[in-house]
Amino acid sequence: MREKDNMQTKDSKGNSLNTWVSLSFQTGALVSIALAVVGLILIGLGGLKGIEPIVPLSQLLQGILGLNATAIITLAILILLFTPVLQVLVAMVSLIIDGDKLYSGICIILLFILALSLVLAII
Amino acid sequence: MLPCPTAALGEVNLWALGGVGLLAGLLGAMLGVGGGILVVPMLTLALHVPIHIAIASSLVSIVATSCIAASVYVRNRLTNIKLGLLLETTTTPGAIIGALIATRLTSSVLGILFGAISIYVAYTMAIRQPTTTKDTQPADSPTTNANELANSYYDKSLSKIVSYKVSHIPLGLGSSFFAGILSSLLGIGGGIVNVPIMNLVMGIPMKATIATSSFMIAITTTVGAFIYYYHGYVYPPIVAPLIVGVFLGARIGAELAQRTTGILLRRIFGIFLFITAILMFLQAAKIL
Repeated sequence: MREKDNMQTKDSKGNSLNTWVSLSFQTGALVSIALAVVGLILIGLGGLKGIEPIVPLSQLLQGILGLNATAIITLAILILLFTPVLQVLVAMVSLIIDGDKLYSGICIILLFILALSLVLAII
Repeated sequence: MLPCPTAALGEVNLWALGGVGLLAGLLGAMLGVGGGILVVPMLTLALHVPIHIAIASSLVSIVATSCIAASVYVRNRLTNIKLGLLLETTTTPGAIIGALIATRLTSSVLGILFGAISIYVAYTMAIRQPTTTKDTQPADSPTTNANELANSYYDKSLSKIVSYKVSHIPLGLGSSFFAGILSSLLGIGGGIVNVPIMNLVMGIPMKATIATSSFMIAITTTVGAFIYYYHGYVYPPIVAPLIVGVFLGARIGAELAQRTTGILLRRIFGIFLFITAILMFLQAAKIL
């Protein structure tokens, strides 16, 4: 147990990276799952007839404000998909604060590739 | 029953989708495999969901479960975050290529590829010995860039700190690229490639391997899911019950895993997966 405590004290830099990355993962996933449950409840309350299979992004905000189940689930999916992106961003900031140039650079490369996947997806 | 946008999709029962997610999450957590290898065949064979939509839905559900798993592993300091970030620089381009290939392949070709991978996983489950006991690094393993990626974690079961170095990084980067392609191509996490390479070749203890793999899977599957989303294969009313079911199943499975003996379960699962693979082949050949 003492070994564990010593390890934690020695590596406070690693601690902040772990804490922030863990928190960003958990928050994103739980918010997303909660919204998916809300969407399913709305489907349950309103019935299945008239449920839109897809809501275009341009109509997303309007759909959410109108308590459209598909729009709320779309928001859940988007939050979920951006959670790992946020986590890389959080890791990058934490590594920059820690002065780790090599791995903050690797995070930047990774963010560039993630952005590229978005661009390629649209093409 | 849910009215679906394409004639091929027909009508899908929300409870059945939730049930598929629950079962996939439960078995996945109990057997240490990603849910994708179960979600895709269950959706295509049992619920007749077109394979592209099944793969897209599977990827989104894997993002959910791997985010939750990764948050726990990172908090417990089991994850080698720097190693995960480094390996992701080749996994994510692989995932982009895999998704772009998949959107251009026919359902039959994807079904055959999925069946082939299922047979490999069935073999590893039913016949090959699990590698989960390998928790120490061989003393003579060659290490490169060791100081930068060397890590340690506190092992509760051993009540001691486990320290390790990382070896064969170029091989790890290469296999990660391949894992990325497979992940997006077939809607699986990619752990079937990464876990054995990281554990057996790179010399990372199994607990750290699984933790780092979960961290990587969250990022890899996101890339594939984005591409499927923009190609119109992600249907929110299908994905929602699936991610809720997988989430609940994974939590129950993680509890049950501590009370069950793994070997018999792995063999039964291997046989189940082998039958699934045969059915996928038959479906691809339009016999089923």
